[in-house]
Amino acid sequence: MAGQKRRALPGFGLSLGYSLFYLSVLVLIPLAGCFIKASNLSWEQFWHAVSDPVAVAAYQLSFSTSIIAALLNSFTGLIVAWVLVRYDFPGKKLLDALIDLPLALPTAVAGITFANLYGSEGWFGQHLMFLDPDGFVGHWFSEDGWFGSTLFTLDTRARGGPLAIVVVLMFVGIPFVIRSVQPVLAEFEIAQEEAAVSLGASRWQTFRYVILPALLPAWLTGLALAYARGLGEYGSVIFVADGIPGKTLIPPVLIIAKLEEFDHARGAFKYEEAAAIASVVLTMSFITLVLINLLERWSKKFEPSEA
Amino acid sequence: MSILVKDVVKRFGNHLALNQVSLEVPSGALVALLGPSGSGKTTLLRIIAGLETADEGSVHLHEEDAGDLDVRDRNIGFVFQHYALFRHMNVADNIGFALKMRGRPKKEISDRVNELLRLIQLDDVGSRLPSQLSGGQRQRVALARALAARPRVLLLDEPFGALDAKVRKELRDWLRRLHSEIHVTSVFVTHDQEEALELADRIVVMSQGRIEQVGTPDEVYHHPANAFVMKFLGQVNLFHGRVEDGEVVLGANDKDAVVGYVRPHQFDITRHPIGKPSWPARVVYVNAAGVQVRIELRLTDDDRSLEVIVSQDAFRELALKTGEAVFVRPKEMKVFRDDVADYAI
Repeated sequence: MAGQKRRALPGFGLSLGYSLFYLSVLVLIPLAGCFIKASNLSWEQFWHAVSDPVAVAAYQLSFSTSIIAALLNSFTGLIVAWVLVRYDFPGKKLLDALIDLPLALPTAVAGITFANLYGSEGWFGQHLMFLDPDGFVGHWFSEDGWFGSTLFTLDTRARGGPLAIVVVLMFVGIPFVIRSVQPVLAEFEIAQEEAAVSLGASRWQTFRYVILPALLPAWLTGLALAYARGLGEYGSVIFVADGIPGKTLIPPVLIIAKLEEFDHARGAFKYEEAAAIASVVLTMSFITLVLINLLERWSKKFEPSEA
Repeated sequence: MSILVKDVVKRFGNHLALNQVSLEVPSGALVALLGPSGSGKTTLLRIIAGLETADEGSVHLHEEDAGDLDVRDRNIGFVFQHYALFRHMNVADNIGFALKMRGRPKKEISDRVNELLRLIQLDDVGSRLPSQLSGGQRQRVALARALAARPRVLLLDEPFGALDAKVRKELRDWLRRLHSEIHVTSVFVTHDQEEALELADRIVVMSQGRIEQVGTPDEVYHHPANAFVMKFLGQVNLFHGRVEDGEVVLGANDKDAVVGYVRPHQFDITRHPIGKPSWPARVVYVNAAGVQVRIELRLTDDDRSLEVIVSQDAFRELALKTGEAVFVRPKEMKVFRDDVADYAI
């Protein structure tokens, strides 16, 4: 064909076909099934299911804890990546290996551990009682406290509340920022830093104007991955969150609850309602990931082809 | 004196990178640090810049001890071999970086950037990214960036090392013209003797962490201080021998042995022996492509190869062919014993 490039390895048709088939069987068809199942509901039924205050609170909880955990991870992850790339110290290899542990560990194991640690008897938990509603910080944010009564109430508990969810989501998200930033930082040309310093930049200016912009795309990728991981986390969250509907219940738990709920009027389990909630979570996750991808693409605008 | 380096010692682990190096660079000079890789030339440049610290010795910049001065306070411009341009900034932002870091007003920065873009003859690339420029253009931008804050000293680390031969030549000529315009004290590192000879007004020849010779291009080329400088600055033919009555007798290899060095163009090739020494040889190879003709000879006496360069005119007159027997006579020979210069014949 005119204008078609010849490649060293042929097989575009075959490999694309395989990719599409694979993605269809494993991703597209099951996800479409979720929407199809949900579409069995009438529009009113659907809206009723997804706009239920308990469901809305669950979405909010999931997205807010995920983004907070991802943001916190993005800062600590950058520091860890920096330390691993820039310095040599005994035990560096071990530390480097530890970072991947959250990927391999069943998150339920992490869940049990964290639930124990932050429980009222736990190593950390016993010192964090001030965050409970009757503790001096917790009280401040509770309905009777000054902040809680004038602005908004906040569940600050170390055990069972959103804070506990953020902690376990940080745990499962640790590897993503570090592993995204690490290779870019390792390949960063030291001469650029030296150039900045020779041109009169302070350390902070060098970091701010020279290093950070180079790391930004990888950093955002890591942030997005950690965030996505947080949205998908289930195993550890059910151990640490106490699952009070409308307060500390995440969407997956709500979905399971719906599946177990028998609708006597229809004489069936509420499978469609569960699918409706699932499809909302799915859509919202997809939209946020697309947005993050666009942000990443914007920050990659300056990627060097070769320099 | 713009730069004064005194007794500088630098070690990297067990490796002695600089061994008691002292150097003076007068204001406005264009100095080349010339040497093979591992000679310490880049280390010396980086110590002057403050990118490395000397283990011993001192560096003065404009009569001021730079020992305690951080790189950023030394007011130097540094040009890196691989440009080290900030990839995410356009050309104008790269050039204006030093002024921006100093908190100068926007107007002043853009005026200076435009002035420098004109100076490097790249007026219309201000808004482009470094990745959109050619190697030669990038290096010119790097130079403009280094000059933006009007440094007192310009330091260049193998500035043309990453460029191809033609661009390198152009940029070299351009840099020499630029230096004659702005007269900033400049030191550049190179391993290319041709580049050093052509560009610098003083050459510092270095080897194994020491300075072998400092001089004008003419001095180091025509009056090398020792065998290393002789060998490093251009091609040489070596003759082991003994000096008898001011004449080198070839082949001796005892304790009185000396080494004679003759550059390829310092030979006469004749059909018949004339004067002394005049050695019989055979033509092995002739390459007449180029400004001059390169001839490889093999000495009949000790079966060694000689490289000789003659002009095209002389070559036509001789009408040499491969395999022919000729006589070769060194017009000028530098003789060194124990790497110390003694005399020339």
